[in-house]
Amino acid sequence: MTERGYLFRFLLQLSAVFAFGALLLFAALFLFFSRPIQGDYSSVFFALRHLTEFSLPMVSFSALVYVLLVCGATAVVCVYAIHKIAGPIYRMERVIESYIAGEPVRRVSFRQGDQATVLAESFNGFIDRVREDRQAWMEIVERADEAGRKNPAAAQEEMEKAVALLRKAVSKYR
Amino acid sequence: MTNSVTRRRIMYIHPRLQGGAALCFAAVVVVGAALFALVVYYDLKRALWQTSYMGHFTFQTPYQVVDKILLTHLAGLFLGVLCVSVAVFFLLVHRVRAGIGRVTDVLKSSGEGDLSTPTEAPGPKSIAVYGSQVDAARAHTLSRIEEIRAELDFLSSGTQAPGEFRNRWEALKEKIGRIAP
Repeated sequence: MTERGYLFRFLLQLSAVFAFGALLLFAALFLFFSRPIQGDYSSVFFALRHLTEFSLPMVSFSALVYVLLVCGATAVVCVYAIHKIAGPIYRMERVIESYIAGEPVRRVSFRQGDQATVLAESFNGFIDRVREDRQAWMEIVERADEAGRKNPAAAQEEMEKAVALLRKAVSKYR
Repeated sequence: MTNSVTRRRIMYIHPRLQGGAALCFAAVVVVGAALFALVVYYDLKRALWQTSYMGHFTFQTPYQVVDKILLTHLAGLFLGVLCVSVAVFFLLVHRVRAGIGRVTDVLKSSGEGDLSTPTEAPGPKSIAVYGSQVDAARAHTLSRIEEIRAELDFLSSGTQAPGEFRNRWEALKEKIGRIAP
């Protein structure tokens, strides 16, 4: 239904995004905490206390930037990767709409790399079966017509026989 | 047959599926980041507060105080978000597979003649919507078959006026031809 390679690639891309986000967060916090502390005991004491007060907005801001960047990148990865599943579903929806509208339906095929090809296979299988049955019913009707043309006296009887056969054939659908 | 020449230009074509999945992962990232910020803030505050009493030791930068806390929590954030996202991902894949599997089974049974059992596909809403469209296609086919059945019932009833049989016979042929054009 979905290739293993496709799933693996998606997870790999997601991991890369999260790793990139974590590295970015590390870089921001590293820069903030890497400013040198100089001076005597009291200046170090006050510098550290001061840093404590500022760490909340700094951590919050860094986390917010992380959220925005990672969510944005994740959304791009999702849209791009899930397009391989969403595309076939979208395509099938359009095919079904045209089928319901009574337009001729061709066999559905997907692009290379598209996932969920089973959607097309199962729909094609359904249409093929219905068409096979339609063809069989048409053959019954044409045989009756042919027999009627050869022997006009028996035309009515041939058609009635065909009707009985068709009634049996159609009864499978419910 | 695949067509590799023409390419799809619009990537965001199924907001329910693509946007829904993106929102699931975004929720994991937001929760992870919020927990990270909360825990890191309290740990940093405690570490810096405790270190301030040891200011007579030499510190080149505060990073020397907070490095272990930062690295540990960043690793935790990365692994936590990744693990939960992988779980969410497999849950999504499972739900999509369940939905598509149901639609596939229904289409197979439709080929055998069952055109009326509702699909009721589980999983994401987009799959359920697709299932309802498949149901509409099956209902459409069944309605065409019902029209044929009505003609057949009339033709086999023997109540038709002379000459009408031929007309209805032609109508029957036309109705058969309209199935799955």
